[in-house]
Amino acid sequence: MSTLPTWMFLAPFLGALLVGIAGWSVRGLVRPVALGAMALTCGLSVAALLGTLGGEVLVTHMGGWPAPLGIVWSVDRLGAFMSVVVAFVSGVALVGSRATVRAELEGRETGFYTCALLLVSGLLGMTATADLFNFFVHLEVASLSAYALVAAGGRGAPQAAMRYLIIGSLGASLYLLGVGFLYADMGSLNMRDVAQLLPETDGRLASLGAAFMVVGLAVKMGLFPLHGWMPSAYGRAPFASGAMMAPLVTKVAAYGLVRMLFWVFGYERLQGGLLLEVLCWAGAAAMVVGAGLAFFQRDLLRLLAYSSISQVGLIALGVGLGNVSARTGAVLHIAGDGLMKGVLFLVAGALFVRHGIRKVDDLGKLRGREPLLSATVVVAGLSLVGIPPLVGFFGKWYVLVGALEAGRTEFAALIVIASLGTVAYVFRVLEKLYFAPRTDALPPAKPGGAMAMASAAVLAVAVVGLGLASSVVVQSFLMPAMEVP
Amino acid sequence: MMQFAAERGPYYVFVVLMVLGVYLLLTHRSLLKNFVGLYLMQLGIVVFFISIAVRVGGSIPVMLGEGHDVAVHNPVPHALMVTAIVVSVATLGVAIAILLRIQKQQGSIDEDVDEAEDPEGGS
Amino acid sequence: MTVGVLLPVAIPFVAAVVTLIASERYARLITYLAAGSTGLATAWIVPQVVGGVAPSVRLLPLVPGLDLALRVDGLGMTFGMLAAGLWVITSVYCAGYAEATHLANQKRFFASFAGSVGAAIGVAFSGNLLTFLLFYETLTLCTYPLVAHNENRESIASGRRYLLYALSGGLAVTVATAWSWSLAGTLDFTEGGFLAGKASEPVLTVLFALFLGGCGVKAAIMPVHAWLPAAMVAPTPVSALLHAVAVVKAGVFGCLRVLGFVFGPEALEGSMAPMVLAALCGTTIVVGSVLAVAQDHIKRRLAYSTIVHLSYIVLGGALMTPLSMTGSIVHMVNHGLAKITLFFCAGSIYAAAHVDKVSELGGLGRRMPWTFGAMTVASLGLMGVPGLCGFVGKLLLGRGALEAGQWVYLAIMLGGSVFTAAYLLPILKNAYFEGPATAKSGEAPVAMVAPIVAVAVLVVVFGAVPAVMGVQHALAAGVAAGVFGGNP
Repeated sequence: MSTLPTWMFLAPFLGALLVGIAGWSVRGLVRPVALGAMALTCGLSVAALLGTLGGEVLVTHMGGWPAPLGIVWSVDRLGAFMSVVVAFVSGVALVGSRATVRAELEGRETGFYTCALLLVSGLLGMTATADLFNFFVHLEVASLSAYALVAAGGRGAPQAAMRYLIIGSLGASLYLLGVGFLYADMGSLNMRDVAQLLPETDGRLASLGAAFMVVGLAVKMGLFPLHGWMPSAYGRAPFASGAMMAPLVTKVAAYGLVRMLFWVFGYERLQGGLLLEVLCWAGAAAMVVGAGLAFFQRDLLRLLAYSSISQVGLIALGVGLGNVSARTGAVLHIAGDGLMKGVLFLVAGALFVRHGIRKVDDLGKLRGREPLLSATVVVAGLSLVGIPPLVGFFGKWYVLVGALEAGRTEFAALIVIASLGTVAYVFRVLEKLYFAPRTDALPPAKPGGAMAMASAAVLAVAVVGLGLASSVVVQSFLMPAMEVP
Repeated sequence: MMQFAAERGPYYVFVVLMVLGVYLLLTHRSLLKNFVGLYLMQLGIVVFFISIAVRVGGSIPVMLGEGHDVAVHNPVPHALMVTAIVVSVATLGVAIAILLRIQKQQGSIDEDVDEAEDPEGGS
Repeated sequence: MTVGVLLPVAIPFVAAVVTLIASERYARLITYLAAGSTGLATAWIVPQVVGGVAPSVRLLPLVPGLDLALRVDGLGMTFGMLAAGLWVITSVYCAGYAEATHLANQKRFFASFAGSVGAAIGVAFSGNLLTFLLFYETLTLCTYPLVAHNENRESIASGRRYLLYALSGGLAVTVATAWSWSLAGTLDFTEGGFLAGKASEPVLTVLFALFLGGCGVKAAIMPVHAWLPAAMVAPTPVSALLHAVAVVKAGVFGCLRVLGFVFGPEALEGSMAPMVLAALCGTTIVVGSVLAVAQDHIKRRLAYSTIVHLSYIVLGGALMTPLSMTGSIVHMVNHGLAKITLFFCAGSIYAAAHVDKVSELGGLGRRMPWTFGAMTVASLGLMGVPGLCGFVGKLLLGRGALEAGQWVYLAIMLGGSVFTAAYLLPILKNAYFEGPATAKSGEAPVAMVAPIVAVAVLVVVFGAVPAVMGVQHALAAGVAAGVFGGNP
């Protein structure tokens, strides 16, 4: 038995505690403590990755209680992959948030770093647990932290946070109800146990439970048409919060969907059924609608929110299609979009701190002033459009191949349409950055944002790197990870 | 009658609570009312879980001494629901904190002004 | 020999990055060095390919089972040498043009130019469809800043239109590539194609439409041609090398690759698809020729001429006979040489006399003897006058049409030649035979005239020098033989 899974969740959790203490006594220690906790967390997740490389699974029985009585934590290749993505992206985002925290959250750093670390601990708990109810608990820990992080913003932020809270809690409640149905039928909350017991039931309660769970997770993912909380929440949240939340919260919920559908319920049982079909169409609709609406947004963060809705749609489509290629694409895109959105939110924050820019149209005033930031936007934007060899292309490629292998050419066509929409909004931004007419001079940049720029650059390099390495990653890690024992 | 209440009653309570909650949630007037609706739904789910813990002719799941072959009610859902209630209360706390912030910002928590401030393309 | 294949692709990209980082003063120097070394590196491989060896290198896996792979066969060598060789000459011309017109944003200009050439050579040297797709999209991205370069409203609008067309085409190719991968399990370009028997007739037809539609955008086949005339707002060196040679030839190259190395004669046997393609090309030739005659703006007239000649090349591929394909490959080069000359001349006319309309060319012929001399040579070549480079290609294409029994297309080709005269000769007539010069000027600066003369000489060399023509023909015929397996 390994305790690594629990330590991955505990490190940021205890870190949050220490941050609280530090905030109460020595203000200046808050950020270093938080970053230290994140560094530790990253190290632990890498250790988990290395520990599962060969296919081993890290298992913890909480309190020593054997399954299925006790709560079991289990980190396999997929879980380790997700942990590394979460830890890495949130760590870099936290590092890059120094200037935005100072700009928008002056005096409330303790609260911010506490909530941020709690968010990470919740997300990592979700990736490491093998118990359905435990998953709910971590889901809510992460969500509550997210609601608080959003509410800390300026005008309109608390309202957006309240809306997020209500819709999000509704989703979590539905998930819980679904778990209830499964428990009523099978008497177990352990994922593997449920998977083994399912064939022996008559399936009706299980189907109902599955439906509720999927809807609940879809709300947390922001899958169309349950995405209503996202544009305002991302649009109004402080930049520092956005950088932490936006790339990750929906993606870990998507991971939850993958885990439930393939490991608990089993693809063979769901194949050809209504649930996956609805998931495919919801995903396809999200892709197209998200990209289309993104084009018309005037606020930069809202544009990014709709872009996320679109990318989540692609992930959902990949999950719904379910064959090996499509689900590999979905998971790869979870990582890819996490990186891409991380870059874009960090850049948005840096632009706000240095130039006070929040609107897409104002980007035109930047002509030639921010070469590094513009370059990272180019990388992330082209990856969103799907230009090889960036990572965004490969996520799309695998889902596309999956759709064609399954004979669902209509989804291939919708991917193309969504890609055209993505071209539109990405190049709208790029055009403003590089080809807008030179207008009156912008006042010189306010100092700051160096950490944000460096962090964005690191994530942009990762976008390129993961893209180039994607074949190796997919072949040696992701595809084996997606095989359900 | 008593048997009906014992057997099916909890499910109807659950349904009533859920419907009430959804109704409040959908008649979108004030954020606080929406949240109350949500809370009711969560209570409904608690009732649901507890109702499935019942065993016919069961007794309280406290073991005294040796050799008990008596049926007991399942304690696990109760434990789960304690956790769920904690989560609900925590959510309530966060919600109240947010509502206080809304009040501080705009003086009242009456309408959801998000739409008014946020026309189609973002303010 | 793997490095030898990699260098021509890598050097331009490295040069692009260096140009962006270094100071603007060095942009031209870096370009000269890069162009020179790329030209040499490309020429270095020619003997091997002529000898029948196809050097290749696998770079890195993109997807399990599919690598980023380069493989230089006759077709790739031809296009690669065209792009690399003409870059050398164009870099001198660019320098002269930039000087004469006080070009702004030179770092972005030269870096994008280098990137575009690198992408074009990458397209040429691709060994499989995914590699091709990668470089094809990169080509679109590198050329976009050049189209929108002048940053006025017209340029930005043209840039948007270009992106829309080109990326849509790229998406069509992406879907078709993914589909082929799932059907055939391989994407390696194979002589005679690899899709035969891998899918039903309707599926193959849809794939055909996707591939040829996608590549057809860059090849400016009607009705997806509209981006090309609009792109003429770009600075002339861009129009010359990229939109007369690199980008459009990448589209045509893609069509030929798909026709011969993805589908092949076997897969297309009995299919109506090539005939539909041929019909579209034929229509493009006819309509394009008429439109060319109607244009007063010199570069737009040349743009429509390009559209016409590109359809000649794709038509040769669509007719699916060894002779017509040989003709396509030969004409791909020869048209490029002649057209780049014409565009260079248009640029020097603008730089020296600030004239961009045919009607305003009066009497310039005597004031700019070198420019118009070259223009005459290139025009005659494009019309198909024997002894100049256009003749051989057109001859082969015509014979190919005969071989395929398609008299209609032979007639269209001949008609096209007549029209070529109809829209090129008036330029010369105005320049030489109209009254005294309405615009006063002298000859263009040496930096522009020297390259013009150089390419004009090439027009002659590729039409009259047996050694060169022999090599060119051998390469092209070798490709055709490979595709058709020696079957007539």
